[in-house]
Amino acid sequence: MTTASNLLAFLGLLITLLIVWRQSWPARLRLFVAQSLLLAALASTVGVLAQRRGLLLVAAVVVVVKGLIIPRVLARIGAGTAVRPVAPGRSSGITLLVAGGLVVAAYVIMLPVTSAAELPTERAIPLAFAMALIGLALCVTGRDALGHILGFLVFENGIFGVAILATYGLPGIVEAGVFLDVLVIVLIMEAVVVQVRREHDSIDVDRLRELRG
Amino acid sequence: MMLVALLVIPLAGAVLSWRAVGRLATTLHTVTAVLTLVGALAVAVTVNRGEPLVAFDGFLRADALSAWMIALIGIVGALAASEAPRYLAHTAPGRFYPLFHLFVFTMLLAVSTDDVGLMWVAVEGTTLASVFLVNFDRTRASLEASYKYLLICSVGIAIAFLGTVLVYFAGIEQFGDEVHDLRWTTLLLLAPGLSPRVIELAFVFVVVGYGTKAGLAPMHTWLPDAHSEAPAPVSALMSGVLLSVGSRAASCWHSASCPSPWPPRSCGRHPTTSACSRTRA
Repeated sequence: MTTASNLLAFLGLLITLLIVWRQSWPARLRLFVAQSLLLAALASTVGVLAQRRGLLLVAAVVVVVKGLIIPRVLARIGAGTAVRPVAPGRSSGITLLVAGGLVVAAYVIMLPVTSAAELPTERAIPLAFAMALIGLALCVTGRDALGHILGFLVFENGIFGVAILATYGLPGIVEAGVFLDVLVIVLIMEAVVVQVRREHDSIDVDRLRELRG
Repeated sequence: MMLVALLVIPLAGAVLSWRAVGRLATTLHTVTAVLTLVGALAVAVTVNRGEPLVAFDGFLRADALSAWMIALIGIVGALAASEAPRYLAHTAPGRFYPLFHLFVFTMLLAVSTDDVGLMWVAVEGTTLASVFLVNFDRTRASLEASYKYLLICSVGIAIAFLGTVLVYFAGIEQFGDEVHDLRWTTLLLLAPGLSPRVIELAFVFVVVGYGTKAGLAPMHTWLPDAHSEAPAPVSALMSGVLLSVGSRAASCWHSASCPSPWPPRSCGRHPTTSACSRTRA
C-alpha cells in the first residue's frame, strides 16, 4: 500500500507541475482530467487495500464528476475564448521554481502530521498537500476566470487526496457535500463567466477592476 | 422535533416558491418568514428553559449558544424578509425568494448541527445559496462582487475542509474508527487525547477557512464589495448573521483545540473554559 500510494501521489504532483508548465488551455484541461483519474485510482487502491468499500464508490463518483461532467463544463466555458498565444520570451520557469518551493513548504508544514502518523500512506500526504498548495498558487495568480477555476479545482483535488490518504474516507455525508460543492461551484462559475463575457466581451478578469475591497 | 420543523420550514418555503410568481410568491415568502421566526423563537425559549434539543440521534443539536444564534437568524431573517417585497417592487423578483429562504436554511443548519462535517457542508452552502443574491441587480459591479465572493469564499472554505480532515485524521489515529461520525460533543471529550501538534495545525487552517466567512483578514476582501452590492435585505442578513455563523464555526473549533499559548500545559484539558463548550457542558 505504501508503494502504491506514494507512486500515485507522486504522479499526481507531477501532473500538477505539468499544469503549471503548460500554457495552452486544452492541454491543461486534459492534464486536469488525468489528475482526477489518478485521484480515483488512488481512492480505489486505498479502498481495496484497506478494505473500505465506501472508497470504491467515491472513486466512481470522482470519475463521473471530475472526469466527465466538470471537464465538459470547463470545455464549454473555454470554447468561446481564443487560445491565448504564449508571448515570446515568456516561459513558466519562475512559476515552476515557485511550485518547487511549495513542494518543500508542503513537507515542512505537514511535519506534525507525518510524525504523528503510523499509517502506511503517511509518506504520500505531503505530496498531496503540495498539489493543493500549487493549485492555490495557480488560483491566486490566474490571469483569467479559467485560470482561477482550474487552480481551484487542482487545489480541491489536492485536499481530497490528503483526505483519502489521511483518513481512508470521510463520512458519506461529507463526501457527498464535497462533490456537490465542487459541481455547483463550477456550474455557478460558468453562469458568472457567461455573464462576464456578455458584459465585457472577454473573460479576462483584469477587467473586473471597479471594486477595490 | 421542533428542531427538525425549524429546518424544514425555510427549505420547504424555498422549494415551494421556486416556481411561484406574483402574489403567490409574496404570500409564500411572508408565510415562510413568519413561520421561521416563530420556530426560531420557540427553539430559543425551549432550550433556554432547560435541556438542549436533540434530533436524529444527536445529529442535530441546539444548545444555549446555538439557540441564541437561531433566535438571531430568525429575527434578522424576519426583518430582512419584511423589507424584501418593497425592495422587489421595482424589479422582477426572479429567484429572490427561494434563494433567500435557502440562504436562511443553510445558516440555520450550520448552527444547529452537531456533526463536524455537516457544519462544514452547511457553511459552504451559505456561499452557494447567496452568490446569486449578491448578483441580483445584474450590474457590472455586482457581477464583480459576486465573482470575488464565490472565489474567495470557496477557497477559504476548502481550507477549512483541510483543517476538518486533519481533525478526523487525529481522531482516527488516536481512537480508531469509532470516531468516524465526528460530533462536537464527542470531539470535546476526546480533545485532550488528540495529538496537539496536528490539532494546532488543523486549527490554523480552520481559522483561516471559517475566518474567510467571518470576514477576518487576510481573506476579508470579498466582504465590503459583496455587502455593498447585495440588495439591502441580503446585505442585512450577511452583516447580521452570516458573519456570526462564520465566527461561531471558528469559535467551536477553538474550544476543541484551545490554541491559547498560556497556560500551555492545559491546552485541550480544560475545554470548559471557552465559550462554546461552556454552553455545551
